[in-house]
Amino acid sequence: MNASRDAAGSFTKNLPPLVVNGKVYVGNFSSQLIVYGLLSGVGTGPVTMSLNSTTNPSAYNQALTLTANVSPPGATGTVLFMDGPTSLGSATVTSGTATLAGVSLTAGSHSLSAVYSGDSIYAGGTASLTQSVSMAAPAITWAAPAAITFGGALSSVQLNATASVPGTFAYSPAAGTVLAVGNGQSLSVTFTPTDTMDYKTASATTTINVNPAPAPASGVNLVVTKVLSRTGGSIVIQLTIANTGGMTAAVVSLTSVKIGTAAATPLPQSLGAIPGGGSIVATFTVPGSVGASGAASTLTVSGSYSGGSFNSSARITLP
Amino acid sequence: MRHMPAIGNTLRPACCSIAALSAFILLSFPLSGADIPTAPYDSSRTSWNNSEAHLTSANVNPSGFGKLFVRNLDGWVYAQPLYLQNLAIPDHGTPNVVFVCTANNTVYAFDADNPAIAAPYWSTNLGAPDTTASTSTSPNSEPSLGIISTPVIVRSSSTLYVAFRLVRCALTMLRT
Repeated sequence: MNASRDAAGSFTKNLPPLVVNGKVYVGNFSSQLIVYGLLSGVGTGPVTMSLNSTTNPSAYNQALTLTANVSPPGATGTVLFMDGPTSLGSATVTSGTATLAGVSLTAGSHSLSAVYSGDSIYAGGTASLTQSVSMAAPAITWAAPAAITFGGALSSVQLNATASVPGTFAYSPAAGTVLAVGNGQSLSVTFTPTDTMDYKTASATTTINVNPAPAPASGVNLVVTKVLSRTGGSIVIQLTIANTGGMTAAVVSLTSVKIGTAAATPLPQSLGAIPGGGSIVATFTVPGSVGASGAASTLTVSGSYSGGSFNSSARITLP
Repeated sequence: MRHMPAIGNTLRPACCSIAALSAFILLSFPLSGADIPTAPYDSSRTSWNNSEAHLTSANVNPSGFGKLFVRNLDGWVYAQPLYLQNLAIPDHGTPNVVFVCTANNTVYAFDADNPAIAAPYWSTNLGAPDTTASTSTSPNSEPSLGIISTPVIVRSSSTLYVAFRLVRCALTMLRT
């Protein structure tokens, strides 16, 4: 082996070290690879680095520009920008600066680093920063709905807010509510984004005018509106009986509520008096076996009040 | 440990207990001009990198030249390190990479320039080395004799060829 002792380790052998690109690579019998080369910035010390972000803290979806400064400015090579263990991209060092634009980060705290490759003269180096990225606020669009006439329940015609990102809307008052007569009544919505990591919840409000209904000749006009839902194997029927007339409907009672031929329970229900411009909500259930979700059927409602009766029939789609 | 974009590791079958084997390891190498893919330096065995222009008699002196960094390995190094310039490493761009092998049958690929990247980009161990070959005539009293010759890299086929010795039981056979 012609082994001999030297400063690189216990022994080296007769194969030459590797000399390439300004460095000398020596393997030894001390289980080491030793790298020799021109010392960083000969006479001026090692390279120093800094890493800066255009905006810190920033918001999700806000594009950032990362700038790594490498000194001395004569250093050449590339800088690799990392987000933890993930590469964001690399840039060439020009006059001591490497820039990476268009960086988009998820919400949260990010440990960013810049790794300078080094060159034949200067050793490599690293710099880091903690980038804080806040969640973004979704944009909610909700125009004030047109006025409605008393007796008409709120629906998707009025409750029609949109958002800039996917998510779900929760309205207050909810769909199916019959508002009292009056102008400038408040409607509100809370939006929950699907991406709850990067977007905040958001809310919006608007107003609606509810005009009085023209009083019928009898002075009593009962209007029935419905909201259907399926809960625990049953179909829940929520009926709102609104008196759009100008006189009180006394001794109001619901005597028949059916989906198809299936009678709802409990029946009959006495609702008492409904003053003109007022409404009462009554709830019934029908066994879910009346039909599968999405099936077409009919809802019929019959009732009476002092001095008259009322009936309502509507095509429905089972929930 | 990071993995090279590699990736085959095919061993020629051995029919003896202690065997000298050869392996070729498939890596992904684009062509580059400053590579040192064989020992010593080139196929003419010149022991001279005649394209080295950075080190000169003017700048190699006690004040300007010295140790930059050390990488600890799992065994002695007999083989000459090899070098590929601008090798594509996932998530690390195209750094220069130095390949070094140990008598413990491990092949490492380190960043050739950056002291901050201490972990190898890739490494593989080819098996327990032969440890019975040390003799009184050996000047080094080697504890093991796995990879003791320099591999060859053929960049055009993305392949590193390496010869090594394994221990299987009690019988030794040498083969090239």
